[in-house]
Amino acid sequence: MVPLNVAATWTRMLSVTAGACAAAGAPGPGTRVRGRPALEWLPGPWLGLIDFDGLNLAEREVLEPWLFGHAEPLLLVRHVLLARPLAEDIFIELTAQALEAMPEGWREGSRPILILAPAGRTRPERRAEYLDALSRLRIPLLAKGSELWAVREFDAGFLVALAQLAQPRERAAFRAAIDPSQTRLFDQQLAVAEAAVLDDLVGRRDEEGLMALDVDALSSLHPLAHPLAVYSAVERAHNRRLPHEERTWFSGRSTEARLSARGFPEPVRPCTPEFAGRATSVAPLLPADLQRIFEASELLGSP
Amino acid sequence: MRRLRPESIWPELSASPGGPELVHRWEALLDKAPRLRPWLDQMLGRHRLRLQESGAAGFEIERTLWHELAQWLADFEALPGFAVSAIAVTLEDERAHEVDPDPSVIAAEPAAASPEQAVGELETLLSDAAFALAFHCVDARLRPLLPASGELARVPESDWFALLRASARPQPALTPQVAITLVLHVLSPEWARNSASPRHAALRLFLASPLDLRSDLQGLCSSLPSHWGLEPGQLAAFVAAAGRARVGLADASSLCARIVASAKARPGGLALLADGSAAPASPEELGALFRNVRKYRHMGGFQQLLSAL
Repeated sequence: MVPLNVAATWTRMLSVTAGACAAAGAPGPGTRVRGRPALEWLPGPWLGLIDFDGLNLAEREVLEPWLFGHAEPLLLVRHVLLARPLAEDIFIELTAQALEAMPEGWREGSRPILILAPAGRTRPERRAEYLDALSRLRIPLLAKGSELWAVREFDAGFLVALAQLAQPRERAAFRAAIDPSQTRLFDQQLAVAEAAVLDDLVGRRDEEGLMALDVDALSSLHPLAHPLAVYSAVERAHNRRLPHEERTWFSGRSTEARLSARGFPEPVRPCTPEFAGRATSVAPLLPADLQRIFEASELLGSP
Repeated sequence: MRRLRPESIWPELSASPGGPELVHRWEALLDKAPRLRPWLDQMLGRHRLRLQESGAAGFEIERTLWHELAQWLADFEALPGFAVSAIAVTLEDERAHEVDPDPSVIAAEPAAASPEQAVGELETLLSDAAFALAFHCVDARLRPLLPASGELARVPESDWFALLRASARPQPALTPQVAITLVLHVLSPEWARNSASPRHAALRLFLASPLDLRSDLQGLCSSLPSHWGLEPGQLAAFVAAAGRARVGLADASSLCARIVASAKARPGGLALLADGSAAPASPEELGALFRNVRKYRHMGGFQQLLSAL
């Protein structure tokens, strides 16, 4: 068991049900791109790899039975087929339930892969380890390489708390420890919080922000490109404009470009009038937006 | 909102022997959720019109309406009280959905808040010290920076709040900034009623730099929320105000961290907002917090917060 900070867990639960996110990063199958869930670009569920590296033993012991006894089918209906958790070594091993649930022929083609990593807990070199391991795997699922895998980071402490609260004894103890005037609210909010966290893991509650707007705009110009590929191009174009500490490395392609030293310096061309004409017909764009989306468009076609 | 006298909305009592009892039960429900009353009035009006157009006799119309009232009442009474209140809030917004846009526009709309979400959001903000503090920081550092008059007066405060929330990077943890943007989210429910195109244009302009304003801005202007009434010549003022608002958000987050650093105890979620590097708040900053108690006395979380300082 993991000792729960009742007050902190309760506040976190309330914040998540009120709209704060419990996971963020690259698009998941539920993230809407141009109004459509990203799962619509390729048939079949996405592969989910949850990373236990960074979690302690007690946390793993709480999380694993909950994930595979309770959350796995709930993620499957959210279009994520969960593989066994990643630990220090990275490899893909499907569970018996996943093998049974996967559509026929699903393993024979490339599929989007979402790595669910604990926010603030992973080692700096972990992204490189993902890239290294996934590049070595010669399986059809990974035929498109880094273009179709990406990372979403989740609040590990809160996920562990939810897993623990799924046990009747822990739930009763927690309920007894909160303010009596809030027990009714707790009874309501626990299920809502669990649904919200699962939705966050797959991107269903992702909100509008500048990245999302750029992904929408670029996707409109390249409607067949997979949202993960579009996201990686947009992420790289954004990273060019950010100080190092604010850059993100959610897409596999961003990580690959950075580690292969292609990330910087990258040649940057000014936006062409032809592109400007096409892009502004999709949405009203300011010059800085236009140049950023142009660069992302150029990156979309390059590794 | 049009307020109706209770007796004006019911069908003819003579058409149903159980009518008085139904009225009694409906009134009990409407006392708990008064926002249901205009919705009920509209529904009865619509159904009456439809029945009249179908050629039904007057007595038959009244009897049918009583039957429908009984069915709706049974449905509402089966729900928990909190859900009825939340549904009432949602129903009040129904007019916003009574449009027939093209399907691609519908697809781009954000999902409407469910009743559970609405209840959760409200109860959250009333019960926890962390969010009470976030409310105060919005008052102290953000609100004073927003333009309330002049050429940007038609941009509502809630729209600025929504844009600030959208401009913040999502973080899967509770930080001072997350607490504040959550409060901004709850204070700006009207934003989601704008369609996608104006919301997107507004966010791009909100994050623009003065250099971006050298281009042709007519297209952008025509995409902005129409109630803003902004002309190209006013965009520079908007961009400058947006910059100040973003600074205000950062400042509000810092104030939040400083007040947490000053707390003797950290009840509720205050511990989650602790930032080891923040210096304690100044006496003036704490004084402003105590002065705000008049505004937030009704919040349980605010009382918790004050007792922790």
